[in-house]
Amino acid sequence: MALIEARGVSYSYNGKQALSGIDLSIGSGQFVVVLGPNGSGKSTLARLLNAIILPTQGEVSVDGHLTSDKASVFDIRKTAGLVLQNPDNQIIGDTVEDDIAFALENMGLHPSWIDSIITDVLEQTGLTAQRFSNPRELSGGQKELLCIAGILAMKGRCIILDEALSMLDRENRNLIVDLLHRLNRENGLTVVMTSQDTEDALDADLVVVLDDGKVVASGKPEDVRIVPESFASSVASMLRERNVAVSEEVVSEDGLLKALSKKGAV
Amino acid sequence: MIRDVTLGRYYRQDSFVHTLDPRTKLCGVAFLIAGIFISSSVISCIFTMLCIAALVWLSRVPLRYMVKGLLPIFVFLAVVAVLNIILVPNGVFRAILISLRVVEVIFASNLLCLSTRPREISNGVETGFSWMRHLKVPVHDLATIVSIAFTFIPILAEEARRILDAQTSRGLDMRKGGLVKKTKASVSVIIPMFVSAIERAENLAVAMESRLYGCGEPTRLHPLKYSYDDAAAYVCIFTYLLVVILMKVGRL
Ligand SMILES: Nc1ncnc2c1ncn2[C@@H]1O[C@H](COP(=O)(O)OP(=O)(O)OP(=O)(O)O)[C@@H](O)[C@H]1O
Ligand SMILES: [Mg+2]
Repeated sequence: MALIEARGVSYSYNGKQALSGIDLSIGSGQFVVVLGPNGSGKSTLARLLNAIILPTQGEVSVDGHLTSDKASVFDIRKTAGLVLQNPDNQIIGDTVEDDIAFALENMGLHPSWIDSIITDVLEQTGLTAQRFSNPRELSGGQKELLCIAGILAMKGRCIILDEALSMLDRENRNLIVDLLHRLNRENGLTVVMTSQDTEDALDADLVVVLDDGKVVASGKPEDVRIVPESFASSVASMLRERNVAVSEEVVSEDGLLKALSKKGAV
Repeated sequence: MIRDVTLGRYYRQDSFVHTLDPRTKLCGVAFLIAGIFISSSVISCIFTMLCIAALVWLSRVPLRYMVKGLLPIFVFLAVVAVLNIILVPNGVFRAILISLRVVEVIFASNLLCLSTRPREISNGVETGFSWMRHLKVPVHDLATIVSIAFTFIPILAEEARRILDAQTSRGLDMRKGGLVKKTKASVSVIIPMFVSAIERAENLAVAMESRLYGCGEPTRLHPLKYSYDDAAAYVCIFTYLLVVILMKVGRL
């Protein structure tokens, strides 16, 4: 059975339709990337999966619990933790360890247990040396790592990241991507990541392309056709920068990701 | 001016004052402020000042750091004092005494913030007032609000600075023009400030919810524990208040 499932989900903000007719099925242990341009509904989808907002139509279930079921809201949030777009607005503690402890304290765990979980996730994310630092003094990449650590601490089976990479430079980006892939491979953590950057989708098990609140394509990266052509050409130029030979025809004919896998790039 | 605000900012240091239990410090500040309000004579004012000076010395927060952050407030106080001197009969003496007491209150509360992290303060409030839970007071929520407020003061101040810079680079000048023009200018800073604060608050609420806020009875990573230092501090605090009261009674 799928870990996360959306069936005919629509959502509107005060009458303004943000998502419509979304069907989605995410299996346990998958690495899923949700692609889409600004305003396509990525953040809305992420919030729906975490029971922060409820669908106006259709239903979302996480590990068999419907998000509309009030009694299982906290189970859902433990199973599928959500990392938001801007780290500055989600750091709550005034030391790194305090911030990671936030969810664990809310769960009512014993202090010694909280302490050992913190030690664990700090090691996983490579922040051990920053344990007692003020989060505001961390670099952008470290802040992002901290947000991820705060969610990993809940020991859920899935992590949802809403454009976690968008504010990072190349180096920090690779750091986070590597971490997510390692957690996915070694711990079987299900990763659901939204992004505007096609490149993020190349190593995914499942790519879902959103546009204007609808799923316009989904499947394995090599089967997905990137529909907005502007999207494709921007990636083509990125590839040329990386010295991968891509001809315009391949890009527009086959869709970008398919072209990529043909070339055996990345 | 906003840039220099150190009010509510924590100064990391390993000192006697820093390691005290936040409950002790909260109680200490409350007693100090009570003492300042009780004392009306020069001698007891000076006594309080010496006590605060001793605390500042014990906290090992550089005096310069403390005073720098309070500069805008001192300017305001000076204006009030001058008005007092001009308008009130026998004003000089009273003006000085009142300003002195206000400065004492500011120093005492500022020292609390400088030596105690926001989370510790909220932890202290929560644990200290936990008995109020029986009266259906949402102590945990209130304590969380306090801690978030403290955490976000410097962030919002920074944001205000950024918005001001952005508007200045678009030709806004806060110093030029008449009252109407100045008011219009400040609106162009206040509105974006407001919008961004609300956006932050909304985001923070989501972050807290998704991290299981309100899931059940919360625990603490570092439960508060009194030490011998706290016992000593409580003795000092009570002695201080007693001395001030005796001075008042003895008209000293
Ligand atoms: N709080 C809100 N109130 C009203 N409309 C909203 C709200 N949040 C989002 N929307 C609208 O819903 C649509 C989808 O927004 P959403 O934030 O989910 O997109 P997104 O893909 O995350 O965009 P971005 O890349 O900018 O983060 C947009 O048209 C947006 O204007
Ligand atoms: Mg978004």
